Amino acid sequence: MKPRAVTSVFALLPMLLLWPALRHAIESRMATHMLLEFPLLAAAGAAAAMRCRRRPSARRWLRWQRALDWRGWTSATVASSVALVWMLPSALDAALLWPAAAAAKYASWWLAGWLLADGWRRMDAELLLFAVGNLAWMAATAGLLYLDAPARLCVNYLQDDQRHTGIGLIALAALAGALVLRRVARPSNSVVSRDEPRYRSP
Amino acid sequence: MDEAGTARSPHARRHGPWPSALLCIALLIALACGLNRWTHGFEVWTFEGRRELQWRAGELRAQPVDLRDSNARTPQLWGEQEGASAAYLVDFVYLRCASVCRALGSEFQRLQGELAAAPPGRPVHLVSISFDVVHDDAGALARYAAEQRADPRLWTLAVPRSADDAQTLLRSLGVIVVPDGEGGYVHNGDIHLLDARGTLRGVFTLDQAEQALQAARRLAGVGPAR
Repeated sequence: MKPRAVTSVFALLPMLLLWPALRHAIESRMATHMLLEFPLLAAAGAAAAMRCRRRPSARRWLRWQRALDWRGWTSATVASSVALVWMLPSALDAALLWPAAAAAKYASWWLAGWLLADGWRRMDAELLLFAVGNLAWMAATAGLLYLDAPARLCVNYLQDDQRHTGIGLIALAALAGALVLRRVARPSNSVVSRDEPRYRSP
Repeated sequence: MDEAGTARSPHARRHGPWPSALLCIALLIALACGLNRWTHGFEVWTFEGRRELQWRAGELRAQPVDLRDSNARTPQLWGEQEGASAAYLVDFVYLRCASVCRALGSEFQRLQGELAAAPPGRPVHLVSISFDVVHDDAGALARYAAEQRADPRLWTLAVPRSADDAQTLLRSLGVIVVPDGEGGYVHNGDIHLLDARGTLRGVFTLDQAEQALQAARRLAGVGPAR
């Protein structure tokens, strides 16, 4: 499949959640809700950004976005904030009980993906390490909490499901940590200079 | 699009890092304020914790829904109508449940004995509501009532008329029922104290049934003051 077709498919993935049976199937298990739906929503946002920025009409918009996302600072802040909020047990429950919270969840993960699609390549290695390290730390902490809690922390999920999610979050944290270390340890660690010259004061 | 071209945009050159820095600070302040509000000062992180704050503030009230009792009648419980009891002790069960629901049934049977021995007036009423509208019809409720020797003057067993009614009632009190994957349910096994209008005034665990009865009597004005 061509790359353009792949990004189109990913960009349209959230539409599938309009199908109640599929949405219920994904969100009725804590593990698929957190470890499948959240990354897919972010991937959909990223795919939509990649599709849109090929259009000439998006040039002006992207210019503004980059002016407000200097070296990926805003992308990193938004993505970390979104991940933090949706790891809270009460936020997960709210997303299942109140449509407004569900809409906020879809929109925030999608937006985080949209911003990261352009922002992560422009991040300095230090910021990338900090942002992904922070994400890995949050995921590992939440994972340990979900794994060790003697009772259900989310009223909508069973305790076994909670434990499985805890294990998944810890694995995700380890994977994210390993990937970012690999990336910043590359000899040609010049992601910023490849995509964008460093900003210099006039 | 040429990324380097956009990166060298006049906007980025003119403004530098400051707009982004200010935006990040604003986002972080908004996040901190939002989390502070949502978690009530970074102290309440779960739905159950938020629910407890809500009922203590008197914000949870049982929505009136159509119920059927074990005699296939429509019981009139809390609400604005005449003849409502001053206090209700309510549990949520399903009749196929062999664990916590049975234990709740035994406790309610014991509480019924205590209420029967009290002076007449019936200010406190026991209510068991099944949320399993598919399996628990009037016949099943009648069998369960006979098994528990439930006196309808003191203890009402009822089921909502529809799954939507059951959801409306459960949600209004913050009770969540989850399928256990084996045909049953995992649910809140607490005893809920409701006043005559249906406002949730207390939540007691199964082993606090005696305290629940005392609180109900105090609420009804027939028990010793705290």
